[in-house]
Amino acid sequence: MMQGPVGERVCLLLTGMLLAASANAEQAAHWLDKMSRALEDASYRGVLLRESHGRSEALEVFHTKIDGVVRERLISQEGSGFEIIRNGDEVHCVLPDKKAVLVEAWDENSTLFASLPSSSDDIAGSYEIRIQDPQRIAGRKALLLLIEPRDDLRFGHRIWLDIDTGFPLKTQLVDRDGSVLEQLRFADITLGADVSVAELATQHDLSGFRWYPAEAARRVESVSVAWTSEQLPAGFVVESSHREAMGKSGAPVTHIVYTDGLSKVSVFIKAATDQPRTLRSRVGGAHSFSTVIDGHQVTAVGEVPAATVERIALSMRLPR
Amino acid sequence: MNDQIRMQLSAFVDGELSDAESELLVRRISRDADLREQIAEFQAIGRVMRGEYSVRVDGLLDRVNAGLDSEPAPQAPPAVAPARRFFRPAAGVATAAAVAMVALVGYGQLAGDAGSTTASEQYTVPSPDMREYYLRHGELATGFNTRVVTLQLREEALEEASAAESSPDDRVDSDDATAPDAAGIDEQANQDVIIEP
Repeated sequence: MMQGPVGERVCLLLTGMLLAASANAEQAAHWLDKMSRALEDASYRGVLLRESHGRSEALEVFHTKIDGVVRERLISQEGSGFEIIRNGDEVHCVLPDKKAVLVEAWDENSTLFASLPSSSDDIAGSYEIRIQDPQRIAGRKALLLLIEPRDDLRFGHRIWLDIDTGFPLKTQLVDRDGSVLEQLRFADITLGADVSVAELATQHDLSGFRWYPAEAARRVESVSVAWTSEQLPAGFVVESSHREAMGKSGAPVTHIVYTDGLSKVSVFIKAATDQPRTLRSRVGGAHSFSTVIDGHQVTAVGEVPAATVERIALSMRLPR
Repeated sequence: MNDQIRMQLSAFVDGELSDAESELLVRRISRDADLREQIAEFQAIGRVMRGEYSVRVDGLLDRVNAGLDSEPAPQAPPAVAPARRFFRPAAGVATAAAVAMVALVGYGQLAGDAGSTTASEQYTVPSPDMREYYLRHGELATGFNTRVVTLQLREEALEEASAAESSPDDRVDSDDATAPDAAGIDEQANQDVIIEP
């Protein structure tokens, strides 16, 4: 994956030419494409700082692909020392302080950089992509890809890409006022590293640990849903809709997922029970808004501004 | 931690360090948990100064402290935000873990009428229903940060389940039985959440 000195020079030259010209969609597409390819075949070890709402957490990271399967191990450098170990779709979360292993059925959409766009085509309508001057990140030269929403209804992204390889060395989720909501940043990274199988295995002795399997497959059925949003922000489309059993009662809940190609919003609709209320909440970069419409509790959740989940939730209607 | 590194961290948080200085500092930060704590503190101070939160965090601690984490939020904020709170030594593991997680993830829930959001409104731990919504959304949404958040939410549910399992009728007993663990987590939670005035 790593390119030699010649490749690097060609790359720098290309970058210089690209930066000399005014940034345009073509260059953005080039770099997003390059990033996708870099992530696809990436093999690296490093130390990552994860920041979210004022919390700063260091993670040691090992990542490679063995026989076409993504293998990854993340070790929290904080007190709890938890580890996340990925072998393809199977993810084990080792919690040494609780002597527990959570088995998660996470798909490949949950890898470190899965939330980054893979192509500019899907997002060009809702976001403007610009390229800015190179900076140094983790000892490497990186150019900055700015993905800025065209309205106030979604968050922006900033991605610093290694000029040599296109690998994302630093990413930010950015609020409309420019403040950083979430950040991943490599403090140190060795790209193209030979990651050994031993580095991918937990260092904890798991004897005596309690295993918690992934939740049994839920009763989830795909359905066509009559509910629609009358004020869906431009660019959002329905990605999926299904009915799920939720809560202790297993009451059916309709779940509609909207996406603009980068941000996703879930809308949950169920029969309003006791004490229907209007609620706002926030978890990490995700906001939610819950209200009652036509005897139904309608809740929108997503990594978008509070105003967006509020607008979507309040606009849901059941045609008569 | 000396004053020089403190000043450097402060400048870093404010985005006033050069690339080269930032790069070196980030390496140090990645190796030193104390520096990460200090950064979190500077960022929290920044938020308080911008009026983003103060009562929320203290109010949250009050509520969790009182074991009311699953009750609806009180409508009136405390008149004076307490500067520093300590947990009772026997606070439950589930509660302590929830607090530690709140600190880590930084979440909250507002109860009240639409359109009445103010800085003094109280954030509480999301209700079980809301938590499940976040989990289900997280399963379909992409992104590592979202998954870590859902992991922590699942961890919290796990804690609650095991607390209920060990003592279905009397929560206090189970709290006492696990007091040594709880004290350890509490200490960490305190470090995580407290904002110096």
